[in-house]
Parts: sequence; C-alpha cells; structure tokens
Amino acid sequence: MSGPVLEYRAVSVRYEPAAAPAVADITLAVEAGERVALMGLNGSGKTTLLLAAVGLVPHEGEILAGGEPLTHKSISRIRGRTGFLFNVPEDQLLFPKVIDDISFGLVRRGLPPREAASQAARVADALGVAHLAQAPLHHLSHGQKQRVALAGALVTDPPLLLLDEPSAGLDPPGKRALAAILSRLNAAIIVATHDLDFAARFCTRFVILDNGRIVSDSDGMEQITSLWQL
Amino acid sequence: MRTDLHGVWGSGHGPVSGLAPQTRLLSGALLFGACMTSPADTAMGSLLIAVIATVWLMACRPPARVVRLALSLGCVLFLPYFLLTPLLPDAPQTLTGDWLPALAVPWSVFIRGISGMLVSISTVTVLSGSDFYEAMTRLPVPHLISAILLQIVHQTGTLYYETKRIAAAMAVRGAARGGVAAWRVLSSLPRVWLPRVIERAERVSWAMELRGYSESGMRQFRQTRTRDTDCAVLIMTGCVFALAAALRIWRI
Repeated sequence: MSGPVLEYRAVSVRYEPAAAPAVADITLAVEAGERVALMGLNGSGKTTLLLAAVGLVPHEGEILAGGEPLTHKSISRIRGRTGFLFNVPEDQLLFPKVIDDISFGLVRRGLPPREAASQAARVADALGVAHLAQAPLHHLSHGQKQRVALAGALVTDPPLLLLDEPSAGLDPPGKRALAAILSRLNAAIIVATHDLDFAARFCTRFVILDNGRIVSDSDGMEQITSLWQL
Repeated sequence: MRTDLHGVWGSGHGPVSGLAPQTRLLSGALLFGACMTSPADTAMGSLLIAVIATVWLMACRPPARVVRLALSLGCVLFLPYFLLTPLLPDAPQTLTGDWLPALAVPWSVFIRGISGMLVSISTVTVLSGSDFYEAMTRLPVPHLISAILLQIVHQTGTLYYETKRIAAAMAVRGAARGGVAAWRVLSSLPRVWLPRVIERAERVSWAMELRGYSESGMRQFRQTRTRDTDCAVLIMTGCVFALAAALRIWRI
C-alpha cells in the first residue's frame, strides 16, 4: 500500500440529482496513522463524507483508499480494510451475543471459531468490555454498545477507521476513556464530530466543514473556536 | 402481565435445553408441523395434538408466566371462533340438534392454534438468541433464507424497543389522555413512526453490507457435536410427525 490511506479528489455527493450537493468538491488526503477530526455543525456533510469513503452513497469525483480507486470491483476489498462506526451503534450490532458480534469479522475471514473468539476477547479486554462477552446485546447501555461496535470494527486491525460521532451519548468519563483508546491505535482515524473536547484529546488535524465544503484544514483548533465563537 | 420480548428467549429449563441447538429447533418445527397436520376433527387426532403440546411443554419447561401469557393470548385469538358456529353450514336449526359436525370447525382452529402457539413458544424458550443463530447455520437452509430469518428475529427486538420508546413518548406528550391530543399524535404516526423505522432499516442494511454479513455463507461461532440423544430425539419427533400424517391420510 502506498500514498495516503484515504484520499478524496474533488468529491461531491448529491442525495437527489436536482438537489444541492450534501458535500461539494472535497479534496482531502489522510496519511497512515493520522488522526483527523472532521468537524462542523449538524448537516455540514461530515457523515456523508464518511459514508462516501466506503461506497454507501454514490459520489462524483474520485476516492482512493490505499491508492486503490473506489469502484464496484474494489469496494469489498476496501471495506475489508476499513473499520466503520455508525453514529447509532445498535444499527451495526448484528449478533445476539457480544463475543459473537466482535469476532464476526475474523470468523468471516475464515479464522477457526475458537481462535477468533480468543482474539475477539483480547480486543474486548482492551476496550473494557471483556466482562460483557457472554452478555446479550440488548442488555448493554449505550456506551457499552458503542465500545462493542468499536471492538467489532477494530478486531481485524484495519489500517483505516471511520468513526461517526463516537462520543455522542457518552458520559464524560466514557468520552475520556474512548479518546484514550483511540489515541493508542496505530490506524489512521477520521472522526466526524462536533465535540471539541473529545476531538482535542486525540486528533492531530482538524478539518472544518460548512455547508458541504471544507472551510479550514489545520493542526490546531483555533479556526473552529473562532468560527463557532467559543 | 408484562413479559419482556428478549426475556422469553432461552428462559426454559427443561431437559431439551441440553440438546444441540439444531436438534431443539428442528424438533420444535417437526412437532409444530405434526400439530398442524394431525386431523383435529377426530378424537385420535385431537388427542395426539394435545399430547404433543403437553409433552413438549414439559420437555422445554418454559416459565409459568410465559405459559399463562400464551394460553391467554391463544384463548383471546381462537375462542371467538366458537361464536361463529351457528352461522356454519353444518349447524343445526335448533338448539337440541346435532352440533358436533359444526363445532368441529372452531374446535380445529382452537386446538391447532393453541397447540401451535404452545409448541412454538416452548421451542423459543429453549433457544437463546445465539442458539438460534447456531441452529440456523447448521441446518440445511439456503444461506439467504437463514440470513434473512436471523435478521428478522434480531431486528424484531430493535423494532420492539423502538415502538416502546414511541409509545412512551406518546404517553408523556399527552396522547394517552385521549381527545384531540391523542388524535393528533395517532394521525401523525404513519408519517413519523414509519419513516423512522424505514430509516433505521436502511442503516442496518448499510451496516450489514459493510460488515459483509450477507457476502458469504453463514459462519459458525462454536463447535458443537451431535450426540446419540440428539439423534434419538430427532427420530422420535420425526415419528410423531409421521404418525400425524398417517392419521390425516387414513382419517383415524
């Protein structure tokens, strides 16, 4: 794999052909290991940009993941090396038991069930949900579901993580713990959030979106604090 | 009586719980089939249906509250059919006439309905969510069908809780008090609740696509061995189904 881990080249997304684009003319490259906060107000296009990166919404322009253009042929390969966290964790939890959900990515890749379960248990332990391994998913709190969904995304050790509002609904200690976990990862992370405190804890680059366009791309938060008059 | 949807799964503690998940599911399905196949308008057929439901209930031993709920629901659903008896073509013109041929129809609906419910609910109580998943992956069901079935079961819980949240919101916002407020909330439900559920279903399908849920065959998370007891139970339930079919064919 060479070059940026994810690259948008003049990418626009329209949900309706005649409608204004949800994101317009986005050019952005994220290098391996980089931690990018995608910030902006509600409706600024943060989620759309993440969804476009894994081909869940049709786009104009070009998206490259690990140097490979996102096309129908490459889409499942690219998805296989991308961890994605939806803003409602419940939506991506597909199995009745925590450990099964976490290990699914490994089992799908052909790892023997026992090996997959022990590897999943290690990830669960790192995320502080090991004690919930045998618990049914519907017994978990929002924060626990968030961690389980993240564990499911991390278990295959993807080089790219796309996280949509991962701190939403978490209590302050939960946010701090999640930020600490994310800061220890080697993967490139793009996190869509409007939680300044959370982003400041582990991100090194701050991209601000406004009305679907990038209005600032810097390594400090000064722009956003002045933009939001904080 | 309140029974949590997820609480029902795996709440039974009968001897059947020790069998392999696929044996439990298949046996339940065979016995359900036997209840539906056996002729309910003959004494022998009705007896077989009653015995199947009772024995399976004892073998699964679901919690008493679940049995009570199933029986109450069954009575509410199937007993009213008896009210239609006088309207049936076989019904006699007088009270002293022969009512048995006419009563056979609502009786069939009632006994099949009640026994079907008891057998299905008992089966559910000896399967946890992950047992059900394991059972589906081990049975020779086409991958697409098992994937869809599993997601229906899994997402039913999500929709159930979503609906509970909406009901709570309705109550808090005054819809439970009746009158104009209730009417306004109720009339907006199709435009509010339905898009919400559809949106949720879309997000779940995105997640399934991303995680490769339907890409390859269903994967097994555990290794379970089928024992002699499993084979014996399957042979027995298979025989019961065959007996029910024989009773139906020869009208015994």
